[in-house]
Amino acid sequence: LRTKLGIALLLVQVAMFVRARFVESRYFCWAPFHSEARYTIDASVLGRALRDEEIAERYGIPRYYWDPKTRSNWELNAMAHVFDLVRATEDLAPSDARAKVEVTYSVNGRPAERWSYP
Amino acid sequence: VIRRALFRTIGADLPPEVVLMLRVLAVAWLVTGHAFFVPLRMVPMFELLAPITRSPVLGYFIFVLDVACTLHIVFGRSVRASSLALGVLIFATTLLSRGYFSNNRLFCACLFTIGALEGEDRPPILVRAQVILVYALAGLDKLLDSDWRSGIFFDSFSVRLAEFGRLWSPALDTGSVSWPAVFYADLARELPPLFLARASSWLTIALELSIAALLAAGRVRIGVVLAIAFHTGVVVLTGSPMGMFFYAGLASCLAFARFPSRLEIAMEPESLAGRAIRFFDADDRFELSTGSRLPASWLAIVIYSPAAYVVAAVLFAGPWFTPWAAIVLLALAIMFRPSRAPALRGAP
Repeated sequence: LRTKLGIALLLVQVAMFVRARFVESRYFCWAPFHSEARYTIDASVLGRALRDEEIAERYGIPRYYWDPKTRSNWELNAMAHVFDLVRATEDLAPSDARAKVEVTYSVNGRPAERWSYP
Repeated sequence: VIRRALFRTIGADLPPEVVLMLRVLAVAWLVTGHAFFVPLRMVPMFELLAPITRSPVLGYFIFVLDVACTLHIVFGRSVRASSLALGVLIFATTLLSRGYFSNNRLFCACLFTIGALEGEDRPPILVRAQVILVYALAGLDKLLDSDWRSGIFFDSFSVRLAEFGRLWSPALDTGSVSWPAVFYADLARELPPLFLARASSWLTIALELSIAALLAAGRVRIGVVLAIAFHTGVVVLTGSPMGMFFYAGLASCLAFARFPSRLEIAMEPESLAGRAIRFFDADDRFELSTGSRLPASWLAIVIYSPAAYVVAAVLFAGPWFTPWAAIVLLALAIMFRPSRAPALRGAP
């Protein structure tokens, strides 16, 4: 049974690798440093703009690579993970406490793009 | 008692190489502080799990279980059960907190889980398959990505790295100047656009795929040397062990190791060096005697001592971490010649 469980765990990783060919996210498929992106999150709740510290706390984003001069953070995996985190956090919040979010990001040095919620 | 608990690898219901791998990993997990880290914001991967994340005791539960399992593995208590529990806990915490997701932590979770699932009296084929899979899929992902093939990723990453400085490390020097990264960026500017970035990208892809292929083909020595060279290169360039990636990568090489059951050493047992060897030799691998036997080299004594790996894990994972020390490991791996003595198996 132990061997079968081990083989099952290995097969899940292969399946996740195949799945990653069709989606933007890169969970559990061994894609470290898939891309690098600099991004800034702007969010407001009920018309009040959140400060950078509040945004980091709201989404639980580590700030090891935070640059206060450019207000940008550094994602070293896939930007889809940041979008997923913002979306999942807001979906769980009560409807009257949800934030309007805009993420400005640049992947691998390309021109900046925008992603927004809702 | 503590000496035997820390350094003994035989007598557990797992192969000695796996016990040592799990212990080295657990020591690094503990000393780097990963064992104490609990995500403060729990946003689950699946909405279904949201009620669990609202529990006020969840954070305490994760903390206590994480530290307890880690200490059990370090001190050789119920290694299989503790390792399985710790691996599952890391997976569960990732499912409960999106922010906790990271490839290096999941690599550890896989090694803890799969290590615990190994058979007692056979080579650790599951862990070996896991290690091969990680390098193969990481290499393939890069190979299938146009930004990696063209060098665009590496170019953009290296410019940012030179500007920002070292990535996270246990030395808590994130953002301090990384001279290799600055040198790399300066060199890249002197060469045609994307030339160095493309060469670095393809070297990375070739290394990852070669490590997987060599380990799968049983060319363990060269595979392990390339793996150490790969991790050393990453550590020196970024100034960071990449979370647990450096430690997990090197510890997993132990699953391919073959420790001899007995190593004869021509040395006076009561001399200072003899007593030191006997102190660290909790498995009683080394036979010390004076006489005309062919003495084992000091390098072999160090490399075949489980204690050396435990001590190295502490030296590499603490706040005194310096990326340049990784070069010592690479030099040792290149210089080393394996013993032909039979492998150590099972209980004493």
